[in-house]
Amino acid sequence: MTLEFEKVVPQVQRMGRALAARNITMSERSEDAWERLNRLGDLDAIHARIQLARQRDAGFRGAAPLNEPVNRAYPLPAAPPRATLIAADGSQVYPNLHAAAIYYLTNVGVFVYHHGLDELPEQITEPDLRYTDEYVRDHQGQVITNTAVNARRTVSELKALAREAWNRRAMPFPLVAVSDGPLLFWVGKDVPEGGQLQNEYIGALVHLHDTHAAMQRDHGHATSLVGYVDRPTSAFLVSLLHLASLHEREVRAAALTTNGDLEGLIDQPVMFRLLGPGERSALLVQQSPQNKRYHDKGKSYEIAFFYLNVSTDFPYHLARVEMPMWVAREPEMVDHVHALLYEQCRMMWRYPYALTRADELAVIRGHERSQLEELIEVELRRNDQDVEHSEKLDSKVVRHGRTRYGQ
Amino acid sequence: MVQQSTTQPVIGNVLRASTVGFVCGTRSQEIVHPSFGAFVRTRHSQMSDIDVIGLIHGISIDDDPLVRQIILANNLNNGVARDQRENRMVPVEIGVVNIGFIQYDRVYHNLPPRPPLSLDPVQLCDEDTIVRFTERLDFLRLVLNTPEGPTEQLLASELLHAADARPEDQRRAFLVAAGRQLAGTLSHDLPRLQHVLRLINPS
Repeated sequence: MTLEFEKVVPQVQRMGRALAARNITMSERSEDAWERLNRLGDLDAIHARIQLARQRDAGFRGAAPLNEPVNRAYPLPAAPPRATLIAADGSQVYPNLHAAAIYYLTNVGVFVYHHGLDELPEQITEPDLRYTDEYVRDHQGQVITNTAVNARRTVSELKALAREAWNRRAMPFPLVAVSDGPLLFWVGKDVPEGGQLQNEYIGALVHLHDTHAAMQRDHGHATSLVGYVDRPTSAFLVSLLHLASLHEREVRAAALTTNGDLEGLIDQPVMFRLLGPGERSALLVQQSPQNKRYHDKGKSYEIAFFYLNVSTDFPYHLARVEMPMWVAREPEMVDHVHALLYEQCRMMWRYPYALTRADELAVIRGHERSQLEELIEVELRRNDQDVEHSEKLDSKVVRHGRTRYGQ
Repeated sequence: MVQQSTTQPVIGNVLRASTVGFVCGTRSQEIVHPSFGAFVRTRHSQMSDIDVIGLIHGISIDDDPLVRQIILANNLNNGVARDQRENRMVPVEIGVVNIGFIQYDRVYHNLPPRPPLSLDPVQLCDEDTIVRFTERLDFLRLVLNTPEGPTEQLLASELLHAADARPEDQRRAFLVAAGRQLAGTLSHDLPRLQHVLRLINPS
C-alpha cells in the first residue's frame, strides 16, 4: 500500500495555515522580546534577579550573563595568524535484532586543519566494533538501546579530540578543539555504566585542560574547546527576559515553568535582530543542574556559550558556540574561537569546514553498512556458525525491491 | 608480447569496460600524465597474453556537493584546495576507446577479443609501443568510427602523439603517410578530411 496523497493533501493545507498563524504570533512575541532585551542593560540587576531565583529554588533554566552586557553585539575580532583546529564527529551502526549477530559499531572522524599554513590537513578515522555481551547487553540481558550507543560514541569523540590535541601540544600556535553539538553531556538510566561514561567524559575535558596548561607553560599558547551547535532552538535568553520581566514576588517555580508571554519563542529571532554578520552575543552561562555538576567538578569546567551570526549576508544563520570556563574567562581565547569559527564558516558558507570534513570522515553510509553486515556473515560462516536471516529483514528486502549481487 | 612497462605511470584502474572501450578512474591529484588522444594500454593480469591498446577520448571530474558548496562560499584557500585534491577521493574518470591489441608480440588493429576487467591497471604506452603499434595505420578507421567525442580532434591528437614518439627526422614522414591514408579513407567526406589534415599539418 502506498501513501494516498488525496487524503494527505487536505492535512498538508491545514498544516500550512496553522504554521502561518503561529509565525504571526511568534513575530509579535519576538518584537516584545526585542524591546525587553533593549531594556536589559544592568548586569548587577540581572545577577541579583538570578540569585533570587536560586535562593527560592525556582527552577530557572535560562542563561546568566558572565561578565558582558547582554544587549550588545560583539564585533568580529582578528583571527590569529596561525592556529590548529581539530574537529571530531561520530557515526554509528546500532545493534539490530534482525541482523546476523548482535553488535554495534561507532566510527569517529577527526580532521586537523592548519589555519594560516598551506599544509595538507590531516584526517583520522577510528572504527570500533563491539559484540560481546559486556558491551551489547545491559544488566538484565537486554540489548542496549540506541541512546546507549550514542552516549558511548560521544565519549569516544571527546576522547579522540583530547588525545589529538595532546599529541600536538608542542605546536607553537593556539589550538582549538571543535566538537559537534553541545558540551554538556549526561546520560539517562537506560545507559548501562552511565556514571562511568560521565566520568570518562569529564576525564577527557580534564585532559584537554591539561593540554592547555602544558601549552601555556611551554610556549604561551592556549588550547580551547568548543561545542558547535548549528541552528540552535534553545530559549535560554528568552527565559532570562521572562525572569527579568517578573515582579520580585512572582519569582517562583510556578511562574518559571514556562516563559510566560514569550512561551514558544526561541532565542534565534532575537539574536538575528541583535547580531550582524560575524558578530557574537555576550557570553552566557546556562543555569541547569547538569552545568552545576560540571561547575562542582571544577570552576574551569562549567560550560558557557555565545551566539554567533555565521552568515555574511541575509538570510542570517545562527550557531551556539559552547566552551568550558577556562576558555570563556580568557578574552583572547574567546576572540580566537570567535574569529576562527567564523573564518571556518566562511569557507563552507555557513558551517565550519573542519566539522564538515570530520562528519564526512565519520559517516557510515548505507552501502557500507550492508558491506559490514556481509563481512560479518562471511566471517561467521568461516567459523562454522549458523547465520540466520531474520524473516522480517528478508521480507523488507523483497518488498523494497533491493537487488543484491553475489548471493 | 610487449613487456609490462615499469617506467610508464599508471594513470588509473578500470572502472567499467566493454570490447569497444573502457573507463578508468583515478584521484584528482593524479591527472598530471593522461592527456586527450594519448595511447594507453591495460592487461588483465600478469598471466594474460593480451595488451589492450586504447586512446584517451575524454577526462571528466565528477560532480561533488561539497566542492560545489566551497565554490559558492567563494573563500577558497590552499589548505582547503589541497585537502579536496589530496585527501578526499574526488574521482576523475578517463574514457578510453579501444583501437587494437597486442598478443604474443603481434599487433592487431581490431577490437580486443575480451575487455579488461574492473581494477586492471591502466598505463600510458611507452614510445616503443606507440611506434610499433602505429607502424601500420589500419586502426585509423576504428578511430573515425568511434561514437565518442569529436573524432577529428581525437584522430589528430593521436597522430601527433604517435609522431612525437618517433625521432624528430621521422615525424614529418609519418604525418604525411598518415595524411595519405586518411585521404583514401575519407575520400567521400572532403570537409572532414580537410579539417583533420589542417590539424596534423606538420609545417
